[in-house]
Amino acid sequence: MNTFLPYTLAGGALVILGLTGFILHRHLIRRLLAFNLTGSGCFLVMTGLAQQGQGVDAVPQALVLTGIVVAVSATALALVLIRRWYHLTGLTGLPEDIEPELQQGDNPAEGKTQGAPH
Amino acid sequence: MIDLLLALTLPLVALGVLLARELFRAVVMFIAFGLLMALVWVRLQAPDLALAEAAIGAGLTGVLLLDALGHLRQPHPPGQPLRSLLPLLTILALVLAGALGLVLLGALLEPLQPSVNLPAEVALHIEASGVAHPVTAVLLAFRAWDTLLEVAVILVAVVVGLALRFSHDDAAAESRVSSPLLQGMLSWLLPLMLLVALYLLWIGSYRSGGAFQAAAVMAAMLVLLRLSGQQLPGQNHPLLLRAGLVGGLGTFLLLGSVQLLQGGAFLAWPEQLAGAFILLVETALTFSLALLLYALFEASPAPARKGHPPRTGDQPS
Repeated sequence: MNTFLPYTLAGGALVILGLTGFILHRHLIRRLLAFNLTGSGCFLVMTGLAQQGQGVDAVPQALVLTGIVVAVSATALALVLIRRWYHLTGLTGLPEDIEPELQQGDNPAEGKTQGAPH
Repeated sequence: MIDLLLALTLPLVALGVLLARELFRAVVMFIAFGLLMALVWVRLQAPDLALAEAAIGAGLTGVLLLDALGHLRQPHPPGQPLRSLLPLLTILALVLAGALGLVLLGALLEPLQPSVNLPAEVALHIEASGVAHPVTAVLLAFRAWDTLLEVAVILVAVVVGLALRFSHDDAAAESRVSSPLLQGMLSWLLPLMLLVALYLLWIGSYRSGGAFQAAAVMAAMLVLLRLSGQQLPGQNHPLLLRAGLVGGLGTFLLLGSVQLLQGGAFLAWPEQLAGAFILLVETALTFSLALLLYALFEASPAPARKGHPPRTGDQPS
């Protein structure tokens, strides 16, 4: 068995885990973490898959290197946006995902339409 | 064996990140995940990535997340989930993830039949690139376009981040750590970090290292300085800061256009001077990227005041 295969598979698992977490979590920072996990999974799949066939390959490594730096700047920008959002509304989730229980929201069907104004 | 163990630990730690009860625990798990990733890159024989991941994934991202966490002292949880939608969402997410998993598994287990042998191509042309390290050659000679655009993307992110921030004084007053230990350690740590960054930059032309890793270390140094409440030289000169932010991209563009004037291609380095040009671009990129990454940290809006506005999430905006 190839040394790189387990990591490629782990990368695939990370993509799936991250995607599921991204859909199911409501807290914005948790979503950001899940998104980053997906990104790391992509990097692993990219490098591992390329190296499985042809040995150590500098091209995907260089691309992933720029990818890591872009990922951290995207994360930082997302954090800026989340903090701004929190500062403005006091919320750490998006209104679309949250039951508007402060209003008269006992009726879930009604809450659903109100929660998604767009 | 060690590969199997590491590859198994990675999704487990990721699960830990996703399932952790407290947000703080999730963030700490995520930092641990970054360190694990650095180890994985070593096992994948990508020391450049290991360096970058250790400095960025574990260091810089951790600081950013913890800093944000400290400012999001939430009085109440993010709100009740949409009870009516939750089962549907869960099923949908699981179905989606399952389908994606099957497709990925099929793709991963099928042997690749690439038509071009990239490692051989890189080895063939590395003489002409002006540097001896393949990753640096790919970054700044063979695929310089990617690198140029990547720097541009980061610049755009920083511009957006800076546009969103609050006034200077707010932020400066709040994020300051006053610990005698930190102040004492600074005079030891800072010269060391600077030395490591410059070493990484210089070594990039023939071994693992280069502008990105050096920039990450340097950005960490700036963040540390900022957290300890030190005044950065030139901190109050917005023009100087802006010049630093665009300096890397500008130098890259300028030097990349030199061949253009002589009828060559954009981003093609002059044959005799390729090594020198790449080193110049890398140096400019190191300082500029460090400033860019630091600016994104600096751009974080000030924490909410004690009497922050009541939650208005249920009003359609």
